[in-house]
Amino acid sequence: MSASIANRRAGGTGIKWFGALIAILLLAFSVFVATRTPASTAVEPSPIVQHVAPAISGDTVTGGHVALSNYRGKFVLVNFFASWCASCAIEEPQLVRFSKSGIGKVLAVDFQDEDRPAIAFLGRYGANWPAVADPNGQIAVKWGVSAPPESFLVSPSGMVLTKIVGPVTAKELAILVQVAKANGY
Amino acid sequence: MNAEIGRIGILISLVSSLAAVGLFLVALLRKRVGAIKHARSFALVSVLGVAISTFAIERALITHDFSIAFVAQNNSKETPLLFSISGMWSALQGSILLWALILGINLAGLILFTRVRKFEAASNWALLVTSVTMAFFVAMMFGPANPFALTQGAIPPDGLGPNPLLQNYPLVAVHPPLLYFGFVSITIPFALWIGDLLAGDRSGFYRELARRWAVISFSSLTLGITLGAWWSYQVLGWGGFWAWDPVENAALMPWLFLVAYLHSAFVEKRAGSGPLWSYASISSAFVFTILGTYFTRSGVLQSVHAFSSSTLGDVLISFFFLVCLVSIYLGVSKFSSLTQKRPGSPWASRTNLIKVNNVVFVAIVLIVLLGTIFPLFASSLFGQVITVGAPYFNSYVAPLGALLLVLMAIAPVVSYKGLPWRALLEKLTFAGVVAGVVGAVSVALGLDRPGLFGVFVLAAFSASSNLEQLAKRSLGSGINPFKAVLARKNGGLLSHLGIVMVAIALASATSFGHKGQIKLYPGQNRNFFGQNVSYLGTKTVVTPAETSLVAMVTLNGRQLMQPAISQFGSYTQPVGSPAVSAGLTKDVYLTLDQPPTKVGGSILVGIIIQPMIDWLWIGAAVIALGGVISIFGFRKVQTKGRWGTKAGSSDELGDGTEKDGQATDRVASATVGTGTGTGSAPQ
Amino acid sequence: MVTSAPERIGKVNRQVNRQRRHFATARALMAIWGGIAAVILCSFAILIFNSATPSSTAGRIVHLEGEFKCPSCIDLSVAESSAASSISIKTFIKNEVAQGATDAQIKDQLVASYGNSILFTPPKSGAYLVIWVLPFGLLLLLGYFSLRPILSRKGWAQSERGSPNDPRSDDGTPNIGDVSGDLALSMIPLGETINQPANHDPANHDPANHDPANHEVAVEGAETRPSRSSMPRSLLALLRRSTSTSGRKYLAIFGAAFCVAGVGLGLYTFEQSRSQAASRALESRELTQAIDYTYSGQDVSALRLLSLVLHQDPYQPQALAYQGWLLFQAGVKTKSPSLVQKGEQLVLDAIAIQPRYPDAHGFLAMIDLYVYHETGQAKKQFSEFLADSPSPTIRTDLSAAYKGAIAAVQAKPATAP
Repeated sequence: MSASIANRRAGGTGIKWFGALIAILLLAFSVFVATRTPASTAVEPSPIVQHVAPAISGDTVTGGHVALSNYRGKFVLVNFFASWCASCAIEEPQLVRFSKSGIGKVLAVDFQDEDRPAIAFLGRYGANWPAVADPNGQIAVKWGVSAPPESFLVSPSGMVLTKIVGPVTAKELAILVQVAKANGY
Repeated sequence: MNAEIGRIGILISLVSSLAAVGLFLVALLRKRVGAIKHARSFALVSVLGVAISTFAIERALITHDFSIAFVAQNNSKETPLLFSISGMWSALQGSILLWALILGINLAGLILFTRVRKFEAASNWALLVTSVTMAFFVAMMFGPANPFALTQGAIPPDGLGPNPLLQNYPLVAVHPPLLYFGFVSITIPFALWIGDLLAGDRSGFYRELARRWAVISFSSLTLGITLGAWWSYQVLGWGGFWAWDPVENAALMPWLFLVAYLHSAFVEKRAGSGPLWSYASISSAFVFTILGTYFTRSGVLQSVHAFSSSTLGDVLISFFFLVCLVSIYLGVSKFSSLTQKRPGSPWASRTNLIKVNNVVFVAIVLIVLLGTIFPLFASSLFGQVITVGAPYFNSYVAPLGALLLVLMAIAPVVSYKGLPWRALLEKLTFAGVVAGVVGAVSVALGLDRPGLFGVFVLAAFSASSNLEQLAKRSLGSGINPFKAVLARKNGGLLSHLGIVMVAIALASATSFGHKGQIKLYPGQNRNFFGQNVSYLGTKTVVTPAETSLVAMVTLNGRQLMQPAISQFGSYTQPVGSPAVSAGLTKDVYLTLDQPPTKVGGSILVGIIIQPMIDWLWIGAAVIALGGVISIFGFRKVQTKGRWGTKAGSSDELGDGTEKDGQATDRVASATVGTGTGTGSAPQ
Repeated sequence: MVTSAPERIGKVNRQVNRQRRHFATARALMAIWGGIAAVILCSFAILIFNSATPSSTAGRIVHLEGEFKCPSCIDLSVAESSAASSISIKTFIKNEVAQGATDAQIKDQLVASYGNSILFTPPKSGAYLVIWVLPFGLLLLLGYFSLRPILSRKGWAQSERGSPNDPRSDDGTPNIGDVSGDLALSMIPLGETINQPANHDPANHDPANHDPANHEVAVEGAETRPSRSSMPRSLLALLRRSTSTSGRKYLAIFGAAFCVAGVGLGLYTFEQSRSQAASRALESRELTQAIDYTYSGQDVSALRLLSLVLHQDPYQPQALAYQGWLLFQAGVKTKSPSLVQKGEQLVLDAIAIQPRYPDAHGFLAMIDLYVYHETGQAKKQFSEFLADSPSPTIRTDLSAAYKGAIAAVQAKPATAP
């Protein structure tokens, strides 16, 4: 650098080296950005995956009480939904199918919603699993939920196995459970 | 039919721009003077081709010709005419066509302005560079970004319609074309500089033309960016106007380089210093327009504006590198003619202050660039998705902005040769007193934030210094004061005043605002920081394109405001439309955050009070006006300024006259053939 | 030497007078700028004194909200967004703050569930420090390489040729260098420069004459000197070199200006994040919940929530009014005058903060009726309550109670307690 500056008035070799340096840096930059994947596909893995699931314990929208810890020994899909969420409606029939298949249980969390519309929403699809009311979204914060629908597969030992952002499908869930079983969960 | 016309237009344009490139090369390298005429004609034909394509795409949009995939995706039968027209730039392919069209207009302009100098090498080099750029963008439309691709399979009875956010507010028809004009027209000053350097032109004509062109780019880019901010404010519903989004930054960086260029071009013109800064900043501005286009079209960065990711990324980044390489090569090989041995001047000379100013601008660009691309590095090197949000940029850019306010106050009062400190203080006395008074008054009125105090004091300092200069130059000279103020030489001062307005607006709007949510039942009214909001009821408005739930809310019992939630055509995601009551002292901004769940139920209204925000738009308009004035303003008026008698060191900003010794309009010395190889001796 | 003594004296006098005038303007200038500096510094000091109140809980909450990114948006912080996820995080922050968690604990909890992507700016630790430090490096590098020519050239010209740039004002006002010898020396404290070269040429004083040619030679000479490119040309060396000239003053002025601008704006950006402090707590979920509780008769729950709101923002008028109203009612029920009085005071406080808050006026009307049996005053308050059109539920609730109370008061003649 200093040599280039010293020589630059004379238009000497210093400035040429300086130019070459800048060009190489720019080339490196161009190659670097050109080889990146689009940002929309970059998703940070949820930090709670492979950790013990945060506790869920509370009143359901219908007035009962339920806790995630009651489900030990079974695969549980913790499903964050809301009656105001459009893609949750797409997902719901798939969840019903998954629930009926008996592969695992579903525990829903009603994210930032009121009880009555949520009951109506669940009733519409014949969903008969408990839905914990989370009107302030505080359970969702513990689970790192951004926008419903988001689902987490919890192992029989109570560990979060995976996070699914967006609508799930029954087939996908069945495969996930199979894989989890195969891995000894 | 439209698709065929459009494809033919692109084909014509591609062939003729390539022909123009070839012929310019022949003319310049083989020294065939006869080729020049044909080269220019072909360049014009390529513009015509793009115009034909534009006509075709607009015709397709307006007649809802869904056989073209682009139209089917960005238009529907219900789309109103205005948004049909603006549909051209609401997606990737059409935006490239708009780019090519605007470049074509500029290319035609350059041909027009250099028609009497058509045998000079410099003008032809400049046209060559522009034609290459033109050919590049047209080739993109010929290949990967074809706006006229046909719909696969059966032609749908109705299209999808533009993105809801792009059919929500009429500014979308104005903001992109203005922004693109500013962006794309930077090509011309860059091309003129390349021509000037390669031909070793000594007339100064090309540099002056480049400067004026850049002023126009600057003005329209300023307006374009501001209208974008305004659009964001009016549409997105968070009450903000700038989020340091990668695409916003991509537009800001060339703007910063343009400002640096205009300042250094001025020093160069007035004090005859070496044009290295000018060359470096104009070529950087151009390079950053390409980089910005890359960021928008490649999808490598997460942005609200990003077009769907496409295969254009690699092509654009290659072009970016090519332009960088050419610029650096020319800069290095013509280094001696870009630097001049100049006498040193004391610290407080305008020459030095502008140098400091430019360093600050470059620093801002680098910091913005760093913040913009850092997420890429973080995800590659650390495997983490991270955000570089507004606080990062603010914490570095704001202090540098304050430094600019100081420089802006001092630079206009000193001469190029410099002033001793005492004279400097003397000249700044008025501004200093005003700054002191403003500081004291604002504290007396209860201001309790140190940062704001700083902004107000510095803004007062800067504003009064510039106003004093403006008054000195234009009043009392016996000339109609209106004409005198709008004289060309005052353009710079006007822009400075605009910057001060923007600074005050930014500081006030982000500091004194109030934000909250109010729950209202029909017939109820509530107070929120002095604003009385009463809720009358909701109504549903159905137009062919959209269905809106409008909340009718009166503000302070007088003004009816209608924040709404709208749902457009087949898009399921509803879009909020804020209602804004604008005023010179404050805006009241209402959003419908939660519609009523049952008849007579409550709504949740988001309310934001933004003081002084309108001065942001006004200030930006003044900045742009300053640029326009410095080119198209009234001609020089006689003043008995203190510096008026000094030869060659007049302290005018923005004067468009060409009286410099080096800019004397002389018969071109560098005609085709002689100009190409010469090593362009220093002045 | 044919000049007579009086003549010589006259000449000296004239010189002295000129010099005096010169110093008069210089002193005036000093005085003005000293005044400006004093005013600005004093205002700044007062401002700092005024703003030195401890940061409120509400301010802390808003500051924290600005540090997290809205998980379901692009480019927005939790503070700026009203998306469902942002509201959840806002509530989370509020609860944690109320429970006494530190900022770091809150941040850790959110990072534990969302990952680093929840942070609005990169953490200031580990490898991320790069992005925070790099701008300073860039600034230094840019400043050094770009401004060095400016800095060094001046120093150069001087060390080579004395002072080619005569420090003098443009309008030809002579500078101190005009007066040679003792006179000049006597003026050192006021400080222009005493280091004028001995061969100082009086003709050079005309600014128009102050020719670039001369200049050019000086610099040209300087540039051919081999040591021009010698390193290091540090700031210290620069300072040393410019001690002989007025350059140091420029350096000082610019340095001071940059420092003031930098510090001021640094503080500004630092402050900015807390800007919307007072406004945010106005319509919190707790508050609306508490008001709902009040009207459904769940006074204990309502009071608990209200105290939470007031903990975050002690001057929240709605919370004050409702707390006062609840305390007043409790006082009436338990026949405790102190509670009644406390309640009344709180309602009055609320009205003082927000004069047109209808609910508070309604409460005051009731208090007037119950405590003072003042129908006139109560009527006035109640009409204010109605004029500001409160929400319908509150209106019907209070109106019924009001009518009952009016009837009761009129049945029983006024007996002030």
